[in-house]
Amino acid sequence: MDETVAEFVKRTILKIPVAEMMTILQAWGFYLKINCRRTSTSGERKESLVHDLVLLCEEKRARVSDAALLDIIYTQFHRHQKVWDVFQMTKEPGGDIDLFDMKQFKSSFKKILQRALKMAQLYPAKEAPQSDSASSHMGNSARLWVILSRGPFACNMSRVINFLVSVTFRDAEENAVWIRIAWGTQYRKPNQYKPTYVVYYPQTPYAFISSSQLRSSIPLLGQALTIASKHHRIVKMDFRSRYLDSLKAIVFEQYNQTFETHNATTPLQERSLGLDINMDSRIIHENRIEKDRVQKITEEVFGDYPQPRLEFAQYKLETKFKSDLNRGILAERNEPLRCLVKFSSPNLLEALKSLAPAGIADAPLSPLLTCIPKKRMNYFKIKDK
Amino acid sequence: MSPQKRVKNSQTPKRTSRHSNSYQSNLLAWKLKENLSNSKSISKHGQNSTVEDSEHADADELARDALQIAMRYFDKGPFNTPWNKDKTLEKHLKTVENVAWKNGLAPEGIDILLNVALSGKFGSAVNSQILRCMIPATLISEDSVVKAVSWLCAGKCCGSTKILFYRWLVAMFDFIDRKEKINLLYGFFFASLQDDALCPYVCHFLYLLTKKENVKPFRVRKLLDLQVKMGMQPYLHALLSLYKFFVPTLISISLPIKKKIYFKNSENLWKTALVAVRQRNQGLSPEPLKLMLGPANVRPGKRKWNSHSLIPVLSSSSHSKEYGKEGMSLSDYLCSNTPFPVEQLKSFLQLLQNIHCLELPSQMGAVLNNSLLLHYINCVRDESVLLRLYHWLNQTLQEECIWYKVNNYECGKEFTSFLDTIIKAECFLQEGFYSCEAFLYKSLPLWDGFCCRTQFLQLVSWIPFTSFSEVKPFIFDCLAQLFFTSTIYFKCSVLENLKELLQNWLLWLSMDIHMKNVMDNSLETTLSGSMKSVFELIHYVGWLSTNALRLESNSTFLLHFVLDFYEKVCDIYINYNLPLVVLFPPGIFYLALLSVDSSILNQLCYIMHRYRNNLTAAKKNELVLKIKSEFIFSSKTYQEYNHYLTAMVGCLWTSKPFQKGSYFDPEVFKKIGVAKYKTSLNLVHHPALLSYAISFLLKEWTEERTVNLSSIRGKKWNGYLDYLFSEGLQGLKHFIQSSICHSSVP
Amino acid sequence: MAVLRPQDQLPGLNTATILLVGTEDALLQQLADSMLKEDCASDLKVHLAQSLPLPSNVTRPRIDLIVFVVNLHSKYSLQNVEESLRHVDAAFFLGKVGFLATGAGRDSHCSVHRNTVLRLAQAYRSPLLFCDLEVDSFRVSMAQRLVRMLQVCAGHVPGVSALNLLSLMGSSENPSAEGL
Repeated sequence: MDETVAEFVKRTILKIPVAEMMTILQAWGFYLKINCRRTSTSGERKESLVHDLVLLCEEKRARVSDAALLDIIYTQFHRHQKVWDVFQMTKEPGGDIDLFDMKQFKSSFKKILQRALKMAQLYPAKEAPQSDSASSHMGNSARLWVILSRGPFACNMSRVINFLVSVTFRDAEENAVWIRIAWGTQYRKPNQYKPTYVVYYPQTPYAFISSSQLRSSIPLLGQALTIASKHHRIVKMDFRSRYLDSLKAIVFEQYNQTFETHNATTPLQERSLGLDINMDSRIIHENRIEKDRVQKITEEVFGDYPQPRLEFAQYKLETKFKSDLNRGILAERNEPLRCLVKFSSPNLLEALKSLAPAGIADAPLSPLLTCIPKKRMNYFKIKDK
Repeated sequence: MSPQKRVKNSQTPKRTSRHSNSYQSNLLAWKLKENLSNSKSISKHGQNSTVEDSEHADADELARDALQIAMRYFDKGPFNTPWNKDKTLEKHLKTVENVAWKNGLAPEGIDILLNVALSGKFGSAVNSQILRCMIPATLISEDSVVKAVSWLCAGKCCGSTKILFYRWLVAMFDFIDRKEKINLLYGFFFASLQDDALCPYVCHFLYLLTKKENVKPFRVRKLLDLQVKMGMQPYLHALLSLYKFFVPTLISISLPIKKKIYFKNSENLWKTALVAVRQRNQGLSPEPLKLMLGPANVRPGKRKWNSHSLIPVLSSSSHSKEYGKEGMSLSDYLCSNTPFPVEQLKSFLQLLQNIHCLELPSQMGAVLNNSLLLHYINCVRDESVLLRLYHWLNQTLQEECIWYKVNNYECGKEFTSFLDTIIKAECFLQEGFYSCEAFLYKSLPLWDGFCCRTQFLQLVSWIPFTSFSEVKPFIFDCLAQLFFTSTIYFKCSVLENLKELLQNWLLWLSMDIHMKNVMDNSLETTLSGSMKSVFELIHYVGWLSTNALRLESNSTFLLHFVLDFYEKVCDIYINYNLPLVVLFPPGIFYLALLSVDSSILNQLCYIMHRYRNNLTAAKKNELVLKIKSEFIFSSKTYQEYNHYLTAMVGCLWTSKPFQKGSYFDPEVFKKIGVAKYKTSLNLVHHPALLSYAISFLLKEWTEERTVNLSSIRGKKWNGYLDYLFSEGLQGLKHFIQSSICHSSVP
Repeated sequence: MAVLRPQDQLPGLNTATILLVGTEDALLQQLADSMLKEDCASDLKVHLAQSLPLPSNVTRPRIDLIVFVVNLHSKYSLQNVEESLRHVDAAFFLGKVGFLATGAGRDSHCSVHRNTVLRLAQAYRSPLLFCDLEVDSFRVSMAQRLVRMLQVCAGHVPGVSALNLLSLMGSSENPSAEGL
């Protein structure tokens, strides 16, 4: 077994908390036999366990892809450690309805990505048509790829291809497919420690991609995804969170469910909605009607189900100062005022929901705050009309 | 263990066998010794060792051998051989690094490596790699540092290496075994401030190194120049403020105190290693000197520079010669001018002998726990010492006060005991700290009146003497608000502590009058000014008490505390020799006079008796000295006293109550059905004494069936009086003996 | 009744009623709970309101003390109190109104300066108390103090009136020598 593979396996296993070790290893399946043999892991030192596992991997001649699979499983368990971006794909009108074939998707995704990457490295960014917004850029480059793939360079690439990128798939719950991409260059093997993850739900126009520092690779990824899933255009939505399931719930409008609580804090509801706690007859709520109204409005806006988890919402404001009263320094400014407002909370929507009932804000809340799930975005730019 | 490492280990033994025969040095010897003991402890640790463990042990041995070779390489080394030895160098570096981060390096090893790193034999990349892994196993010898500094002068290493070296010095400062020789190089370090890149790090190092004698006018000038050149940099600022602490006269510019972070954290590179070394050292070195007033509580995880507890452990800024070990006699010390480190101060005798050359701890808070140093602070007329202490107290009180960190209630206990320590120190010095007063200004409005109640009120009682009307809005108005809305127990403890405050002020003033020459320059010290302040305090307490008694429906319990306060007040003239007599307000007097509790009445009598003594003494002095202090003894005071006295005598003795002053129409008494109102408040019928009268009658005339109270008169009256006195009503006895002429027996 | 008046109703037998006004319901609720836990000879009633005026279609006992709770971390809560104050009859300010500022401990979180509340309280000649209601122990001791104030305001402490207490609490006034 390659030394780098061993190191990769070792580092991945070391990441896993001892408590989850058995579950994850069993899900991996590759070394199920080991697990049966070593029944108790709790008392042992993790290092020695890792040491043994690496040895066994060596015996079994584990490949990079096996290790990558383990990494996917780990990430599936710890999906909240990544920040996920939502991408939306569209079809051109009049396109015929295709049947989705997973196998075909996987293979074409891989192929297209590898070629696109190759092309991108042969012809660096300056040759690609420049466009002003990221989304249209992505669409353009997708089209560019279509042209290129029919061109003369389409052949004779397979020799270097394996060196550029390693792609691993894993089928997950609800038909979702998890894709792990480790990026390399012409001269370097793929870096297994900074991979990008894509979660794609077949036959839906949405894909979730983990944020990474390798920005240049995202358009290529989008391109591969669009073509493999037979879409025509991909747009990055201004919608981002750690909680993949919550993003999914908002995007697919599946609300009635309980959401993952990774760093569980005390539920806000219990603390703030005073009405239910009040048992003592000597305490009289004077504004009960008002409270009920607030409660009703809140329920209308947010529903009576637990809110999906988002950690922040960001508003970029670019406005002119308007006031009839005091024409101060601000009024004379010609340049717009720029400011950034960021709301953050372990559970932003739940926090917003309890703002009015807790008496911190008036009900109803500004639509700018309540439109997050409807608009499916938590990054806003607000300009004067 | 990774396969990589295994490969390396399998290679190293070959090297050992190649070299070890030809080479025997003391370096090898110390390394062997140390590692032997190391491996012993390891094997002890794993008794039922598996195959794996023994593998580990082997690996350890191999690593040790590798280290020896590496060290030898760096020490004598084939430096003359050209650069093709790149691989070897890398391997050796790796070995050293591993050992350093795992166990740390011995002083000798550090010596060798410092030499290599700063002599410029390798490129700067290698040098920095070496510096980064120079983690001491326990201590670093001073000589190595001095040697290293001499390399700096040779100018063989580049700027980045120098910076790294200074950062290393700062990080490892505590582990350098001594610092005198390094301190001798102070001038050199100071000169390095010129280098713009080095300046922040050198500043930080100087901040740690500076002692009082290092502060020289020319250095101050240089620093100020630098500041003009570079702007108000926090690190320069830090050094300047330290200088100002030591010699405040030299630096006239004002430095903002608010700044907290002076230095970027130089220790970052070695953070984990430092913790490990500290742990190792704690295991080895004996505990620091036991503190005298109580052990400082250790709290891990606090970001304090040198210590882990609220009150730092004593350590002077330099560790001078070890007094005890080297058998140096006291006289040697007296002759020499070397400063005496405070850690070694153990007895009062030592304090007396070293008082001229005592070097105060680097963190002034440490003195709070040490009674000897408190003595020192008390007698030394050095403003800067107190300033340093106050500064430290200010910071700590502010940072630690519990209601400023709402999420952190568990530190409450610590804060309480911290306050206790401060109060103990204040008691010991018999003097309040100004920083505590400032803290009260700020936090009293936020106080809930419950948490740390004892401590807070005690702090109030140690407010240094000032003009009362100035402090009132900040402290006493807040206190009044709390006072009126809190429980009776709170009221009692407030009164108790205000009594303490009064006493502290009186003591201070009475001392002050005797040493008048000391204070006559300040504004607030004219005698009448001081007396006015005390008068206002007493007046304030009177106001509090009267209203409190109303709020608490004339509680006897509360009244006791009120009268306790006045017991102090009535004796000011005689006990403290201060020209002030303040009477209690009528609200208190009549309440006490009409109380149903005999001990209250007794206390009142005692107070009246003392007032009488004070007033007569004052009158006598007035007549003798022919000076009349205009404001203090107005004739009003005498009139008031006489008025009270008449009322008391009228009630208790002559059975003619309320004839003058608060006069009642006899018709009123008739209407409410008290026919014999005249006698009903005399010694026999007074509700507080009624039970005494009855038991007196029952005791003396057991044969009588009916108890006739009015039979107590004439001779029986005298007998009754004796009975009362014998029952412990001494206040009454004093009062009657002094204020009532015996011929007037009814 | 748009404006709240102290003398609109007769007092209930041995009842003392406090009205807590503030936006943050949960804090008021907790404070009310702590007050009711206090040992007290009078029958306590705690009314909670987010703002004034109170709805007029209900009968309620005479209100003996109004406490306006301002959270220093929220300007909204201060505005709300300022709005509500307009619906209080001037006679209430003769000792039957108090201000309570919460959140002063965490200086960095404050969006309302302490002096702002202080000026507000001074403008209405009413006492200002500070207490971080979020901390249990502080809240309990504050509840204790409020109960004592309430008892005075309800006239359950013989010899002391609400106005009397106000004059004692007023920090600006100096006790004069003649007043004793």
